[in-house]
Amino acid sequence: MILLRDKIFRRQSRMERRETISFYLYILPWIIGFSLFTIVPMCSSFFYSFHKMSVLDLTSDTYVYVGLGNYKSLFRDTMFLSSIGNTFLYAFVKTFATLFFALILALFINTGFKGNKFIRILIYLPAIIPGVASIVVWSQLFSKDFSLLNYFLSFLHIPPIDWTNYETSMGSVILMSVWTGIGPQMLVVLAALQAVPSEVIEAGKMDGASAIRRFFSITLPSISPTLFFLSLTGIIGGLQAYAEMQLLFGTGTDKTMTMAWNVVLNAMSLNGTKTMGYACAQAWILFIIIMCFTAIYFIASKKIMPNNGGKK
Amino acid sequence: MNIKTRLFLIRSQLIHSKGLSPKTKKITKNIIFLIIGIIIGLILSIPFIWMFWCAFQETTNDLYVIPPKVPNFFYYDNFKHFITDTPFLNQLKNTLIIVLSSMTLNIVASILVAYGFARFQAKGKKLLFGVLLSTMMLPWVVTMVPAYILFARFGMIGTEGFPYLPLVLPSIGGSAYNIFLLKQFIEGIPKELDEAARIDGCGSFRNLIQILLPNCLPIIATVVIFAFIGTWGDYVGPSIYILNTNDYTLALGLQFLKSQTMGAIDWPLVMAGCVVYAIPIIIVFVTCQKAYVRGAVGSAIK
Repeated sequence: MILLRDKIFRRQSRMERRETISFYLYILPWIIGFSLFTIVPMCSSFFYSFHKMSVLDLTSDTYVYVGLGNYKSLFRDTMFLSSIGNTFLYAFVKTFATLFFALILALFINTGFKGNKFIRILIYLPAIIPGVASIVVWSQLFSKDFSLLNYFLSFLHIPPIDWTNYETSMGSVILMSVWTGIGPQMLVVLAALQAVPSEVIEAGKMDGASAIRRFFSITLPSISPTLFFLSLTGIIGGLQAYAEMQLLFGTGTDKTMTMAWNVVLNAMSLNGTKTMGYACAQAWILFIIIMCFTAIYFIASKKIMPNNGGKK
Repeated sequence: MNIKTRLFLIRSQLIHSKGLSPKTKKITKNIIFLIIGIIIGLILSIPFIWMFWCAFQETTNDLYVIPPKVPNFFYYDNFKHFITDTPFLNQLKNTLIIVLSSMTLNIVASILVAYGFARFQAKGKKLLFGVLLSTMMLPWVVTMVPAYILFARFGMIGTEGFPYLPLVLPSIGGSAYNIFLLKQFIEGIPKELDEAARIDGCGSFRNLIQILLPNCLPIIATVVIFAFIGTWGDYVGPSIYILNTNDYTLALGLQFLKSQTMGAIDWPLVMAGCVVYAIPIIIVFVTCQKAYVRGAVGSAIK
């Protein structure tokens, strides 16, 4: 033991050793929190994913080892398979549509006309309603009895849409998420736009580059790390979507079921089907999918934007 | 329609205004942009406006009138009804217990951890910080099921008296995003300040409390605001861990109120509930805009 300690601290002076000790003391809360609420649950989740158990058996240790059984039945579970498709559809469409509109609005605000601060606040308003309240308001907007959205559409001679039926429900959730997501993302893109040095843009103007050319050759490359970050966090968030669908529809169909929702449903199922271990297996597959996606996205973006500087 | 024609008129004026001075041109351009901006802004804030609009209507049927009936904004019965006839006060108390306890834990822990990462050198620091950042990408569902099992084993779910431990305890590690923001900020404070304090015989903890914290107030405000908004609006956590209707938070209560009246939802009442639930966030947004924007933007720019 003493030998080992000598080996670790051999080249460290007393000062350095004290610094190391203080470092670990200060980050101790995080180490405790991380191990108790991340490491331990993840390991036990891995363990439970090979077992059959129910949320009702938690205190009685009645789980049965089933090997890879849970993972095998995943691929025969049509709800699980369609939930993967739905989740990816939601995450990608939502993220890129939000980013597209946020970018256009940020460019518009960035022209710096008088009164743009007021417009910024107007655009941000729907995002400050807390989640549940926002979804409740949207469920009124999507209501069958009277939908304000349909009323506005009638001006454009578009017949009323049934927002929450089997076919349209996913589109409605995406519309809601994009609508409330534009404001915050616009703020971030705007801050990135304002950080682009104006001299560079002026120089572009002097060289006679058109506005479109200036956007694609100067502005877009300078804000691409921000766009990359927003799209990455947006997609990772979207892949974990649960509350939006659950609150809006209550019960899922194979068009609206998402992976996270499916995990929660299986884990908390009270009808004696013993699917808690199965839910763990699902959660692990979801985890692996997100990790693979993040890695691919990082590598691809490095290829497309080499000067991306390895942004987190 | 009216606005469209007006826009068209202004635009045609602009085309014919080539002879006008550049200053007039600039003003016309500004006005056009402002009008376009207001139109877009009004369209995007429909959910927000509609929430208030409905909350002041007298009956649900008033919502269905075409064209929409302008409500009487001095009609407060929905709010009165919501506050006195629903378990609002109890739910507010529950929400505040969770918000205050988990926020305090979260912020104290985040400050300590951020200080550790920002000011001390040690082996394994880089690796640990990488792990910390990557936890931001960890899907909550992966840890949700086993964490539930853990809490259930220790009898923390649905306990009489204080059923909120599963919601509060995970805050003892701080949150990765807060730690990241605080660490960036502390690193921006000149190290000479610490050195001077150390020469004067100030220990590292006193240094944090007396020297660094007063300099960190702006970012602490940001972190407090975001921790507040995050826990106040949290639905997923309470929906999984809270079982008894008596222990419901406002978020759960609102959803319960809506689902309870399924079939003929009393929309004005529900919307009044939404407004009441949103008011603290609106107040925070209006009063602390600077700190708010710093938090919303900080992550992606730094």
